[in-house]
Parts: sequence; structure tokens; C-alpha cells
Amino acid sequence: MLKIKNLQVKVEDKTILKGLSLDIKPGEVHAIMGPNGSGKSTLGYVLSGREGYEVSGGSATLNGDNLLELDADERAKKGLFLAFQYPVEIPGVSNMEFLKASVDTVRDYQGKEALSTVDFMKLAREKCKAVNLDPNFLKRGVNEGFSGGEKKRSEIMQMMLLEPSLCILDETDSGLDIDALQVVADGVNACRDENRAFIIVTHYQRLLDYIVPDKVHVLSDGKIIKSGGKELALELEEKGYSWIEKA
Amino acid sequence: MKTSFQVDNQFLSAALKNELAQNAESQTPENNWLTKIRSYSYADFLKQNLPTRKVEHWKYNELFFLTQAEFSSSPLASRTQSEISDLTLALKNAFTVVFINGQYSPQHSSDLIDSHVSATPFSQANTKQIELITSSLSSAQQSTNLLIQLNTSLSQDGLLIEVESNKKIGKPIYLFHLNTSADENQICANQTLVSCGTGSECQLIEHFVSEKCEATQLALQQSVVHLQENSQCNHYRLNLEASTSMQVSRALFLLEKDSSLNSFYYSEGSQLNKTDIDIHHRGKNSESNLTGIYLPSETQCIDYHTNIEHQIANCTSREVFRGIIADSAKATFNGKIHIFKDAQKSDAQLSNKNLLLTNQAEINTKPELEIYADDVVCAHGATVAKIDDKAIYYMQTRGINETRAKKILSIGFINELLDKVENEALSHYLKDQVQICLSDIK
Repeated sequence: MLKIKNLQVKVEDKTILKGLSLDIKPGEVHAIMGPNGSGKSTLGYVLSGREGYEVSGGSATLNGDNLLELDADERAKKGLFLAFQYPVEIPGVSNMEFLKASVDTVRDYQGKEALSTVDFMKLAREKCKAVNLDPNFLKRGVNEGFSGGEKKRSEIMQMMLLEPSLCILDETDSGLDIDALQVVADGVNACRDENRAFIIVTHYQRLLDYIVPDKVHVLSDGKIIKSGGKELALELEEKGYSWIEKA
Repeated sequence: MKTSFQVDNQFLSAALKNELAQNAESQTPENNWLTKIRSYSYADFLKQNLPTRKVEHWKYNELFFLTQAEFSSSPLASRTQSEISDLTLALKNAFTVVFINGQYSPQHSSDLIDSHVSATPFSQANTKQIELITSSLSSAQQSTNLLIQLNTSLSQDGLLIEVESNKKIGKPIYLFHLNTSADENQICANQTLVSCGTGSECQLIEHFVSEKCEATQLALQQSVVHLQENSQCNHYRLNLEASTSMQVSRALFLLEKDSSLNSFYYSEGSQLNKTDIDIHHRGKNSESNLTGIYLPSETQCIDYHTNIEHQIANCTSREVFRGIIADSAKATFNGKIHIFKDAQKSDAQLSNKNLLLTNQAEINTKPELEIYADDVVCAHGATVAKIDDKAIYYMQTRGINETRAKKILSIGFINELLDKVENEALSHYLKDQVQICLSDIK
């Protein structure tokens, strides 16, 4: 599904990713762990199409499409979803309006039937309930004045509505208490199926107790330096990153 | 320092100058008072020269264009009822008052019998009404804007609208102004006085439109709204003229004890719209709440000068203006709060926010406080920003393309203000209008 080969990325002349390769098959959950500054968030940004991230080498394809030459919105339409570490506040634009515009566009592109306002509302309320958000949240401005936990649950709710094929969760666990973490993990697990893949970017092993990964990768200085099964996360928790970096 | 152009009334056509001069000499007994006001205003106007940019009030919109053109008086034009109806707002059950080129047009206006609202041309006013008009207009004379003085001199008549005391008027009073197309440059004038009787409640909608044409239509206009004790007025002023129009106008509100004003402004379309808004809190516990949206595009200029005077203690004022400036357009916002010496316990807040859509778009914003009392709460602030790139990217990651994202974000910038429009038909109209106005964003 997602094939990344020798990806190199620069931000303002500083090379952040230095030849990253990753192959993700439908239905798989890959965790990417690594120390601060290793390039974890950059991976999410460059795959989703953020401006200012210059690809200086390598390739990335999603279901055969060259991701790197598409605009950010086209990548989303083709089924890529990034749950932000810091979701952006948009005062004056209601969640309802924002989500409707988003879902309408993506469904239209994917040739799915348009939802009536009534059906959309019903669906949105249902998804709110699934991540334990008050349906009144739909009337509020996008992420405006939301608590950290609400922002993250809102991201998961958006993911559920858009039904993407590849979901990248960028430190979705940061700033969450145990209860919120459980809600977020339940949301993700509910979305897991044989066609949908996940990249879970995290600092801590804790989230992986709830969302059990198929593979764990360690990212350090812009490269994947070790890959393994779920037990690798436990080992990292115990020993820290330095034992791999030294090796 | 050169502060004026040496042209005084040169931009007025010979016929128009002649008419003004004749008026100054004539003393028809029945309209003596009106003639006097007009001739005094003209004398005041002639004492001044057209200001240059060195004069603060005209810093961003000088009147140089007047030295380059000649304007004659707008002719009396007539339009059929269906032509008028095509342009008016689809308000349910409104009392409609129509002005064509500044002139009151009774045949297109609603019948006001048994409505507790009356419309009287100044020229037909009785003694009591003349007293009301002269006392309100004397407050209006103190304008720093010489074109407003010219407006008074040029207005052959005026319209007095009275809302009966202690009556709640359910239907909006809708003042519709149309400027017709012309082959040569035209100037028209209008003055309207609305008196909200003691304890009355009303809704007032002023709507300005014009027919597009080759020449320039310069519309001068002044509305004075006098809120008597304990009265309430919800006021809307919509400027939606064609790109060949220029309007220089003033809205003055006199607030007596315990009165309450909500006043909403919307402007787009015309080449120049310069509106001076003066709010005079003259009676204790009076409240004013101003909201404004301006959306200039192409090479248009919109200029709001607001001046809120807390002349007496215990009054509250709120003011929020937001603008979205596109293309090479220019906007000016000058918001002044003036707290008089004895106006203790004044509570005044002012905010102005602007969104610039291009590198060529220009905004000149200046919030001002002038405070002479010591026990007051005042706050003011202004911001200028571009559309947030991070917000555009966030929306793109949700499948919304850049152009659409910019539109949604721009509308989001003013949504909160549009929500303040209580009149439902007007609210729908404005929401659609904003969509149309911002549809060219790229």
C-alpha cells in the first residue's frame, strides 16, 4: 500500500530525513518510535504534503500513486489521513461546516454517494459518541478553545468520518490522560480492518499497549535503524534509545 | 505645508453653483428656516478648500479626483415599480421608503397610515416638527467633513421619519436609496432624520444601490437618528453600490437617557465609500453596539471614521469592525472613543481586525482613545493579518483544496459578526452576498 524508498527531505537547507525506507501492507499497523529530533513528525508532514518540506531524493507511493507530486488535498482524497500532534484552531468556522466540506469533497472524489445534511448530522453525532465528545461540539469553532484531549479525540473522529486507507497518527498520545488514551485507542482499533493501514508515531510504549502494532521501527537521525515486532517497543521502554544508536 | 487644493467649488457645474448662490439670496417665507440652514452650510463650505492628504481625516482618501472632474446635479429620474422591486431586499412586511438620486419618491413608498410611523418632507413640516428638525440638525452641523456641509447645502428638502412614542414597530422601516445611471458626472444629496419617540422600538434598514454607468455618481448623504429617552433602535446600513459610484456620507446618532442602539454596517462594491459614524451618548445609561463588515476588492476604497462620544456618565459602547481586503483594494478604519470630562463610569470597547488577501491590499487602521474622565473602563485594539497558512494546510489534509479553504477561512473571519444580524431575511441575504463577494478568492 505505502512504499517509501530512500526518502530524503530538507527543511530550510537542513536535511532531516536521510534515506528512509518503509513498506506497509494493507491491514498492518506500524509504530515509529525515536528520540526527539529524529524526524518522526517530518515524516507525517512530508507524506501529507506540507509546504516547506523539500524532497531531495527517494520516492513515496500510495497504492501506486506518486504521493510527492500531489497537492495536500489530493493526497487526502486518495485516502491519506494525518492526525496532527497539534491540531490547528480555526475560529469562526464551525466543526459542522468544516467536516461537511471535508467529507463531501472526499466522498465526491472517491465516487461515493453524497450524504444529505440530515444523514451527515446523524453520522457525525454517532462518531462524536464513539470518541466520547458532546454532539454540541459540532457547533463550536474547529479546535477553538478545545482541551488537549478534545483536540485529539476530534482528530480521531475526523478519521472515522473520512474512512481513509492510510492513517498517520502523529504523537496522538501526547498530552492525554489514561481515560482519553483509552478512548483514542478504542477509536483506532474500531477502524482497524484488513484494508486499512496505520502509522503510529509515538515516543512511548504506553499507547502500544492499547493499539498493538504489527511492526515497530526505530527512527534515529533521519533513518530507520532498527525494525522488529511489538516486543521491540518494550525493549526500548526499558533500555531507552541509546543502546540501539550506539550499536 | 499644503493642506488644501485651491479649487473650492470648482468641481460643481455652473448651473449647480448658480442654484446654490440663488438659494443663499432667496428668502421664501414658508421655507425660510430650511433655506437658512442651506445657505449657512454653503457659506461654511465655501470658506474651506478641498483638503489634501496632510489633513488627518482625508489622509488615505484625498479629494483630488474632484479637481479633475465637474459634477452636475442629478436629474429627477423615474423608475417603474418593477424596476425598483428588482433591486430592493426581499424583506417580509417592511415599511418601504424609496429615494431616487437622493429625492424622496412617495409613489414607490409604503402607505404609512395607522402604522405609528410617519414620513414628512422637511418642506411640509409643522411648527413642532421644524423645532425637532432644527435642533437635531444643529448637532449635525458640527461635522469636520466639508462634503457633509455641501450635502446640507445641496439638499433641497429632507425627510423626517417619526416613530410614535411608546410603540413597538414590528415591521422594519426600510430606506431604499437608488442612484440612477448617467451620461455625465453627477452629484446627489440626501438628508434623512429619524426620530425614535420616547419608549419606542424600531428596526431601521438603510440600503444604498446604484446603476452601473460610464460616468461617476457622487452621492452625498447624511442620516441623523435621534433616539429619545428609553427608545430602542436596531439599525442596518448596507452599501452595495456599483463600481462607478462614490458615496461620502455620515450617520449620526443622538442617544438620550436609557436609549439603546444596535447599528450594523456592510460595505462592498463602490469605487469609494467614506462613511463617518458619530455616536453621541447624550443621556445617562444609554448603550450603543456597533458592528461593521467591509469587503473592498479590485481598486475600491472603503473608509469608516467612527467617533463615539461619551458626553455623560454611565454609558456603554461596543464596537467591532472587520474587513477583508482583496486585490489592490484599500480600506481605512479610524475608530475614536472620546470620553468627556464628567463622563465617569463610561464603559467603552473597540476592536478592529483585518485580513489582507494579497500583497497589494492595503489597510490603514487607527484606534484612538481620548479620555478626560478618570473612572472609566476603555479598551481598544486592532490587528492586521494574512490568511493562516497552517489553517490552509490543515484543511487541505482533510481534502479541501486551497481556494476553497481560503474562502471558508475568510467567511469564518466575519461569520461571528454576521450572526449578530437579527432580521432573518437580512441575515440570509447578507450570508449569500458574502459568499458571492468572496467567490473570486484564489
